[in-house]
Amino acid sequence: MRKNWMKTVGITLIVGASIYAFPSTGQANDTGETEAVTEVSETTEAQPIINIHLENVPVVSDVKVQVPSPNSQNQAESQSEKSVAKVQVSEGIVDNLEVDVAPVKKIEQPEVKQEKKAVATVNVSTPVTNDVEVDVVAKEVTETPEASTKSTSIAKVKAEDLPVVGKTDAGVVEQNKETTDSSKSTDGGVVEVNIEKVPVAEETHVGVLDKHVKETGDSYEKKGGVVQADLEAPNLLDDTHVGVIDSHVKKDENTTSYDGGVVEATIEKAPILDKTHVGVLDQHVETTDDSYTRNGGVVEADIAAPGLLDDTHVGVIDSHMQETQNSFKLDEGVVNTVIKKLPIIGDLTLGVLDQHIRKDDNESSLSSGLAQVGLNGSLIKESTIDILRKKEKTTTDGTHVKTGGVMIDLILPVIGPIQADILTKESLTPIVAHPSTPDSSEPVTPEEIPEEEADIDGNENNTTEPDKDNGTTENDDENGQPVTPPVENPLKPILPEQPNEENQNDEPIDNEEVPPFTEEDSDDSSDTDKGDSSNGESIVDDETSTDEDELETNSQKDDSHSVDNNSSNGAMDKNSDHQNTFGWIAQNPSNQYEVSSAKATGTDSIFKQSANQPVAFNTADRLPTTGGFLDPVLTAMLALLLIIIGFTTRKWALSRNE
Amino acid sequence: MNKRPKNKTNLIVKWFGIGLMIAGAAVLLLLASGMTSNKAQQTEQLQAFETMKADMSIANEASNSSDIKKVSVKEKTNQQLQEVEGVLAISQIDLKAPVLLGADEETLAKGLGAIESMDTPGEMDGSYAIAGHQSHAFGQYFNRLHELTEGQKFTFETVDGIQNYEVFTVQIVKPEQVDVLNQQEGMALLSLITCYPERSNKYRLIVQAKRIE
Repeated sequence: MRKNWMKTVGITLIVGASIYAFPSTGQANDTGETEAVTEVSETTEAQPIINIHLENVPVVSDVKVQVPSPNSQNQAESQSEKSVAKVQVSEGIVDNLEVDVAPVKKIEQPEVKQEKKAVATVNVSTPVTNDVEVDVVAKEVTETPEASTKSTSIAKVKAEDLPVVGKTDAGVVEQNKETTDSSKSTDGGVVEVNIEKVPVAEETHVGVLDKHVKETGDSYEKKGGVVQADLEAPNLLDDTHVGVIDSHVKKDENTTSYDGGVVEATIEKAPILDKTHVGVLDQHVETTDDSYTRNGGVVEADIAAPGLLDDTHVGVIDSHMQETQNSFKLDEGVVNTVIKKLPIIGDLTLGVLDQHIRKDDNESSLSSGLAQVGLNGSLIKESTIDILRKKEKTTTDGTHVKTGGVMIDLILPVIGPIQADILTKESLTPIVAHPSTPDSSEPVTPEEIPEEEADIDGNENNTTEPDKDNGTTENDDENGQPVTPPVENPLKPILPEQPNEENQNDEPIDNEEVPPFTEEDSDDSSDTDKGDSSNGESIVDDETSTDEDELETNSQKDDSHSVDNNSSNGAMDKNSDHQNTFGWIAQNPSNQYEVSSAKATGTDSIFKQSANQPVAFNTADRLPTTGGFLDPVLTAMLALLLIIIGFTTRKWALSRNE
Repeated sequence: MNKRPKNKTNLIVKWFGIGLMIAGAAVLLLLASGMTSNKAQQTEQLQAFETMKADMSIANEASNSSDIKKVSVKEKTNQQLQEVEGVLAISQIDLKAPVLLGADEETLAKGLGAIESMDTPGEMDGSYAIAGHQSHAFGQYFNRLHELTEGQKFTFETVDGIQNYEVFTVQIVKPEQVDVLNQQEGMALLSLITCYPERSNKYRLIVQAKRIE
């Protein structure tokens, strides 16, 4: 700092001494062609101590030096202007050059008060540059009833009409502060350049280490960066912004947003491109009252080229997260690409090591894996190819998980839909509800059985009809111990209550209606099932029973139901590893169904629940999966194709050997 | 020196070709074997079903005999019934196949499967459903189910007798729309289920018929 001041003082002294010595130099070179004339300005009130006027000096032509400069006052405009020294060169190599040392310029009007001070001010007017003003170490304060402006800079250049760039303002280590009743703003930077008009652009701003802050009663905005360039070129580049280590924070009553990155480039509109954004190590966060959005990545490119690439997004190690009160959405991946409306392919999505999560009130889904290609166009519709992928979907019914090596789902133009799963595994984990039922170890009397549940169990085909006489069930075992009645496993079938006419209805089933169920219940169920492995005996018991009620009940459904029960149990025994239910549910030999509950429906459900039915029967929420990729004809064709290709290959190899 | 790698490459290509031919032949053999085995299995099941019918009639005749005898016959019959529910015959699509109990993957690989825990077939106000593969490497089960139209008739034979059905609706639903199988008042509903479209699990083709006799 001390050195700087010493330099400044030294330079000022040298300049002053030079100016002081200049007349003698002029006189020494005087050939009679020039003469020194001293003049007194009529508009000045104070005379300068030194007033030198040289005319027709070679190269520079007229030279005028005043120390100090006269105090110029304009009564009409309430202006006053003075400086320590003033040098004016005109009619020479430059049209006009004025150098003011330590100028002070004041305007004092009823509504405007302005004061400008600088170490030096240089005004140059040349045929090339037109009017240019340079302020060195300047400070300018303007006050009006509405606003107060304060500007400081080490160097500030104002050009009214530069030949190429038009009106240009450039500042070095510049700071401008403006305060009004309702707002406050600060703009500054190591280098700040504002150009009004360049050949192709308007309102261009370039800043190095710059910062722009604007604050109002209900909003706050802050922009800054190591390098910032904003360009407005109508019909070429609209609202273009390029920033290096760039950040932009914006807050208002409802929204807070942050946009930043090592490199950030946005173009609102270009001849081929619509809104385009390219970012390197960038992050964009927006928070509103009811949502939160975060986008970022190592490389992010969002391009919109109407007619060529609509809404294209390419991301490398990128992440997009959106959260609202009712939903959550996350897309991330090492490569995440979405291209819409490609000329032939249509919509293309490509993900490598990507993950996609969706959640809302009713369901959630997750998809993650090594690679995913999605196509949806006029030729190939709604097709996906997944490699090493896990798909998980949780609905009100349960969680469906599908993992696989390769999952192909194509809809081809001529062949039609093709679905192929290689090394895939699926499972369904239904929702577990905890019971509030009495202890399953205790026998339950008919009085304890809720009426509704008894109905649900379907008395028509319920072989464990409660014995009205003794309060126990009819299937008393040989030890005289009552068999746990079906209410111990009060499972309801999962099918909805809607009548068949409304079979398009996919309404989720109200969880509150789901009867309670636990692992113990499941065990009970299997126990019951084990007990029923002697169902044949049960039938005999039914038939040999002397109880009239029992006989009556059994006479209604005896044959058919006994067959049904036994066959069900047989199937359960046979497929006990599979816990078989509909379709793909059974593909996973998992014990998870043992701890699973079922969904509720009304009493008219097609699945008639009884105590000896396995739990898995009640977990079905899908129709059986009966599709397959290969049929005998296609398999034969593939085999023949293999043979033909093999034969041709062998033939070709042999022919090359000859 | 230059010939050796060329020969080596040709040798690899040659053996690759031979490998492909062997693989193709193996697939053909596997297909033939699977088809034969599947057909044999189905024939066996049909025969078992005939046996079951005979056993059931014996059981009915023995209803007046001692309890012990009745139980033994019934037990035997029930064990067989675990395998075959009935025989579905749809002449319009050249289908006559046994229907097993269960609609899990293992059962459906063998043939047609009846969804468990539903009503008994042909029961008034009841619903019964049979599922079958639309396309399967070793069998043609419901591959022509889409050809059925409203009004066409077919039969489903159980141990109790032959039931006649008439198709009254053919619809395509999402796999989650299980309510399509709900009971319908005033009819004995039989639903035939397969996947739709061809080679896809996206939707289900449901052919629903009501018992007419």
